[in-house]
Amino acid sequence: MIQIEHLTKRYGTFTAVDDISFTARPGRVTGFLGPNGAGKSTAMRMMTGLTPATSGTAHILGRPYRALPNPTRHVGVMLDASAQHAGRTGREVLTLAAILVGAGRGQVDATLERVGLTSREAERRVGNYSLGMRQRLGLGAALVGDPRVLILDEPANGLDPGGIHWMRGLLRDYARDGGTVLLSSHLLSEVEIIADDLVLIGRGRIVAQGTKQEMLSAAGVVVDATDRAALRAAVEQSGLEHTPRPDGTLAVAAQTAEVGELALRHGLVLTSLGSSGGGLEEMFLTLTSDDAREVAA
Amino acid sequence: MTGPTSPAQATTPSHLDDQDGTMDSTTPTTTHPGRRSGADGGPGGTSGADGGRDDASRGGRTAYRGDGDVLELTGGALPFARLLRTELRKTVDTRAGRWLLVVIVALTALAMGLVMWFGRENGATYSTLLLTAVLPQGVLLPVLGILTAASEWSQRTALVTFTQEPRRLRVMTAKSLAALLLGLAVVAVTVGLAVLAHLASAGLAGGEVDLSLPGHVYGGIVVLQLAYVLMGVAFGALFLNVPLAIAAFFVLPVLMNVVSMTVGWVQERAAWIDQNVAALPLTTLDAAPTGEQWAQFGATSVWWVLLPLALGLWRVARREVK
Repeated sequence: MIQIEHLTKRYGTFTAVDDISFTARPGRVTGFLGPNGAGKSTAMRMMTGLTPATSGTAHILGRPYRALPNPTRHVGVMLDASAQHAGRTGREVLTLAAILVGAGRGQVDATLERVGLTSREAERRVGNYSLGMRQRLGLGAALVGDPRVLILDEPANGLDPGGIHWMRGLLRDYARDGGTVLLSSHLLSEVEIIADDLVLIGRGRIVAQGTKQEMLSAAGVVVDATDRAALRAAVEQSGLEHTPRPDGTLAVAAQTAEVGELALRHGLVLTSLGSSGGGLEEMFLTLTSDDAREVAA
Repeated sequence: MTGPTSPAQATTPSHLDDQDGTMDSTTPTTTHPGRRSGADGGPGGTSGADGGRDDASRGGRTAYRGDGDVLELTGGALPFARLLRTELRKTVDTRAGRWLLVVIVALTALAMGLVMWFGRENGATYSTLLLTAVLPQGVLLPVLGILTAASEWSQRTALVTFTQEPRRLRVMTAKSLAALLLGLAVVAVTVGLAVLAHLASAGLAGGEVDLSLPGHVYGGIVVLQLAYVLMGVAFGALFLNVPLAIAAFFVLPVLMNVVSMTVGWVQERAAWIDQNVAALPLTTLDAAPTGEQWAQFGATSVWWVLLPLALGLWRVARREVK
């Protein structure tokens, strides 16, 4: 459980994080999504006691991070996968983390296996690692103490699509066992795959939050049918808000089930129906475009 | 795909002693109200979101149950011995750290080799061998201290270290102690090497074996080298940047020397201000340092070691780790 309340960080007149509040719950993967420079990393550093907050609180497992006894036994943290001494081997990095949490050598081996690093890779210096391997190592260092909470900054960065799916599996299993996961990303596609709940942040402020399903359905569905004219007529008749899309499909502000029922009533053959990935993407862009840097377009 | 929660389970707060008997001895019942109110900033309407989700349905890790998740933290604080162990390990598990130790020992051996060469006729005395080796170490041991204190900020591993132990002064204490222990080890190795070199030299030249040395010289060497190590730590913590700290460490004493040679007021009181001057009596063979000389060394240590150390620790404690 991570509870963030009115967390704020100001540097002089610049407000990096502006009064954010949200809760990351046990059993859920919470995605912290926003463009670069939105304040995600600053917020995560405040959660872990590395950056003092200007105001507000961040409680992890009911306490401020600095008040946790031996924090990495309870909270696995990876704020920057590249923040490792290039001269240490992967195994050495994990061993150091394991000593601090009181885990044995066996735990190091088990963790290496869990994050998919072979023993040969583990003997190599981190300086020779790809970013994806560093992410796996960083995740391993976070997991080695068998914590209940994971705080991961851009963990999917540098992973290939296969790696992202692997991470989804790992984090989903972890959450299913009761763990709390908070992960940040500036890429909607990553978070959409991995997260259950979403918190969208732009220019230091939270612009939207909710479950992924809610956010997806809020963004509406995209539907297509063999008889497009009939589909459009049916939707119009139902009074649902809708917009034709350039490709001939129809965007409807409704749940998939509603549109499905509508099609059933009108005897329409649907060729596609879903809260298309584009839905949330559009939402992400809309929500953050005002707040994002101008170059981000 | 979002998990196993059935609405029925999630809305029933009395799932606490459900199915398995493996629940932790702790009872999580007490924390419900707080958690519920604490959830108000959360994602609106997360379906059946609260504490029920995780404990109800999973036979997974029983330690991670329900609202006990919030308050029940098993295990005590991070033992200092573990912290010290990792900090010691960090100083020698990188090439930079290992090479520094190798260079220190190699230079020590080299210095002794030279002394043996010059004393090849009559055999090199034990005290000369030992005290000659102390010189290059006085230059290199502080670098060990600087690396210990500052390299994590250059390598950005401070991000990891200070999340592992957010009580930063505790980390710095472990780092200082680790550097001091390594310094002691180097002194011990040096004494051993000096003994061997003297035996070899005496054997080759046919000279007399004499390992006697006034006790205060050993004390002086240990105090001096440890002070230098700690001064390195202090400069490392003060600058939090390895090249800058090393440059400052070597330039400032030279500046001090120049000032003390040119400014009369300083020159008269050099023994109280310039540590290089105050350090001389500590390793003098003829006589043990007097009380005043100890006081002078103590005073210069305040300016050159304790003051920068205090400022450095203050800086480490407050600085934002990025």
